[in-house]
Amino acid sequence: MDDILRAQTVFFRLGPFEVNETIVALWVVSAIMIVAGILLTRNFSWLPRGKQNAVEMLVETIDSFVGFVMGNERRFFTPFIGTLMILLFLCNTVGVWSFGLLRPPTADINMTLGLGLISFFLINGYNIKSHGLVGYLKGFVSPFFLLLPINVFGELAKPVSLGVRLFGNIFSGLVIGGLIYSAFPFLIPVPIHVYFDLFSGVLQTAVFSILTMVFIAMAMD
Amino acid sequence: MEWNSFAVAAFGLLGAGIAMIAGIGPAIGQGYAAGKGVEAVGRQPEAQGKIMLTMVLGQAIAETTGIYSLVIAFLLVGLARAVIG
Repeated sequence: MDDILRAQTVFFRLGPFEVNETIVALWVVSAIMIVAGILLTRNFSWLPRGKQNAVEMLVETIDSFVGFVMGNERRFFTPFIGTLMILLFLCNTVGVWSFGLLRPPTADINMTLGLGLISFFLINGYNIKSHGLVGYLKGFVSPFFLLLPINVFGELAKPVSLGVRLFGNIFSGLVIGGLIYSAFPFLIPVPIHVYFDLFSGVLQTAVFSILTMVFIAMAMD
Repeated sequence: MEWNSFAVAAFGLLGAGIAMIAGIGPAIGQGYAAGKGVEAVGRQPEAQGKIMLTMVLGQAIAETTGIYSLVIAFLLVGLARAVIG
C-alpha cells in the first residue's frame, strides 16, 4: 500500500517530513494563488475596469453559486468555498497548465483526506454552533437511540468519502493516462487529457465544493 | 519465491481485479440518474440549474461504492506488492 500510494520522488527531507512531488506542486499552486491574489486585487477603483471586471465577475459567480446551494443568508461561506474551488481547480488541472511537469497534488490521499478533515470540522463545528452542544449530541440519537452507531459511522464516513472520492478520481485519471501513454504515445492521449484533466478536474472541483456546502447547510438546518 | 507468498500475491492481484467489478453498479446508477435528469430538464427547462445540482450530487453519492471498491483494489495491489517485495 505504501508503494502504490506514495510512489513519488522525495526531493529532500525537512526533519520528519518528506518533501515529495505533492508538496512541491502544492507550493507552486499556493504561490500562484498568493501572487495572483495580490496582483489582481491591487488598486481597485470605484469604477471597475480591465482586470477588476474579471475578478468581480469571478467573485460574484461564486457568491451567487454559494447562495444558490446554501441559501442566501449563508453567503458568508463564499470566501472559504471560493478559495477551496480555486485551489481544487488549480490542483486538479495541474497537468494542463504546468505541461505535465507537476503531479496533481490531489492525486495524493494525504492531501484529499486533509481537505476532508477541514470539511469534517466545519460541518461539526457549525452543527454545534447552530444547535448547541446538547442539540448536537441529541442529533446522534435521533430518531431513536438504537441508531447511534449508524449516525456516528455516517458522520465519520463523510470526510473519508469526500477525500477518497477526489483522490480516486484524480489518481485513476493519472493511472489511466499513464497506461495510455505507454500504449499509444502520439495523438491518442489528447482527448484523454481533455477528459481526465479538464472535464474530470472541473467536475470533481464542483462535486467536492457542492458536497461540502450541502453538508454544512444540512448541519446548520 | 516460496509457494505461499506467490499464492498470496496472485490472489491479491486477482482480487483487485475482481473488486473493480463493483464499477458496474455506480455506472448503471449514474447513467440512470443522468437519464432521469434529461427527462426532468425536458419537462421543466426553467429548473435546469436545480436539476443539474441535484443530479450531480446524487451521482457523486452513488459513486461512493465504486470509490470504495477502488480503495479495496489499491489495498490488494499494495498487499501483493508488499508480499513480492
